[in-house]
Amino acid sequence: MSNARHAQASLFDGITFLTLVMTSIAIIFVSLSGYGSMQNSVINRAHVTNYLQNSFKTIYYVDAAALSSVTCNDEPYYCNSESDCRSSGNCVMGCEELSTWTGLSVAELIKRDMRDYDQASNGTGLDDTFGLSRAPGKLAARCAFKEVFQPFSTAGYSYMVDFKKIVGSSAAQVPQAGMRITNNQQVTSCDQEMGKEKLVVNAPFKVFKCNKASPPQCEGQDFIMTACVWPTRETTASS
Amino acid sequence: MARRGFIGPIGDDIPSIFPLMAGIILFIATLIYANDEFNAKNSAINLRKAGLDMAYIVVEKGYVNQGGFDETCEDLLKPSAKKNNVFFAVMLRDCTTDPSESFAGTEICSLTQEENANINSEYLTKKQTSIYNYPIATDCETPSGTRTGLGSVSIITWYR
Repeated sequence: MSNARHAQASLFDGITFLTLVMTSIAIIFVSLSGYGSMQNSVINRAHVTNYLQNSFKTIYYVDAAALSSVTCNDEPYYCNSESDCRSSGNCVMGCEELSTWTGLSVAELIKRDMRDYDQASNGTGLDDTFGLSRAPGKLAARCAFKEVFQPFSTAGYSYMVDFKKIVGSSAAQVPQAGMRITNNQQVTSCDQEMGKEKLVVNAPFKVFKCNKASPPQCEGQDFIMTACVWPTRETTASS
Repeated sequence: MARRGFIGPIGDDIPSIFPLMAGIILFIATLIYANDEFNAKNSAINLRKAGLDMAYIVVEKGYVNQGGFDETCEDLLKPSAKKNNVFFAVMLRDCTTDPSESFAGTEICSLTQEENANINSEYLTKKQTSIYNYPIATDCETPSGTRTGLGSVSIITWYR
């Protein structure tokens, strides 16, 4: 090989080496940008799951009367009548009614509301009544979860809380009359397809139903309380 | 025949030394940068994990009141923080506290470098922090007496 060619060959070696180095650097930067995103995603989901579980625990302690100051803040999807709120500005949530329910937790009020639920007669489980008397369990749940999930609502997430009754090995959804416990009234159940970012948490919810015999005989009914959150943008895309 | 372009055995390789040196310097600089970034990311992840560990303890019951938290604080939270090598503060906000104030509320448990440190945004400005907020049932003072209402609890963790 002539000397001129030798010089060219060594220059070629240098440029090849530089190309290899650049490729390695590109690989390092690509792996660096993705590093930690899975761990962060797992931690985020663990936090949200913990938040949902904690919201279930909280309603067992919160006095229903303490929620009487909650309002729908003119946001139609919280109000008793979404259409009234949008058309005439009559935005009422009705939480002030809870001021008379002192000494009763939100969970106890929900249980009282659901105690008269009879799946066989297609009755409405959460309808704010127990027999003919008033038992605003659904209202208390709407007011409580509106406050509990406020950070998620503000961040563009939808939430829903629903209940299922366990019958044998299957679970049937308990219907909610009127406005449901959600900030997205398009959705009727947490079972709906809402995209891959949906997070669902279940908890057992036992309701005792007693008859009028003397002494009254009580029977425990097993329900499942479910809460789910998902990015609101995925509601219409997937439903 | 004249040896055109010949500088010498070393001189011939001089042109290739520049890309070689550039490549080596770039590669070493990238390795140093990547190492720092990996460490920073690991550190942030560990801080968040430590915060989450403590959050599980704080919201274990779904109910927190100021006086009844000392045992949990001393027996569970402080050992957990020491194990993870972080400092922390748990802030409790009752129904009467303005939720828009990030560091409002009562500090019910903490482990800090300085004694009686005032945990606020100024104190934490230069620290790498992780904050978790949860709703919690807590005692609220109302005109009609003490009532269990809806408050919130913040678990703030940071490194030295």
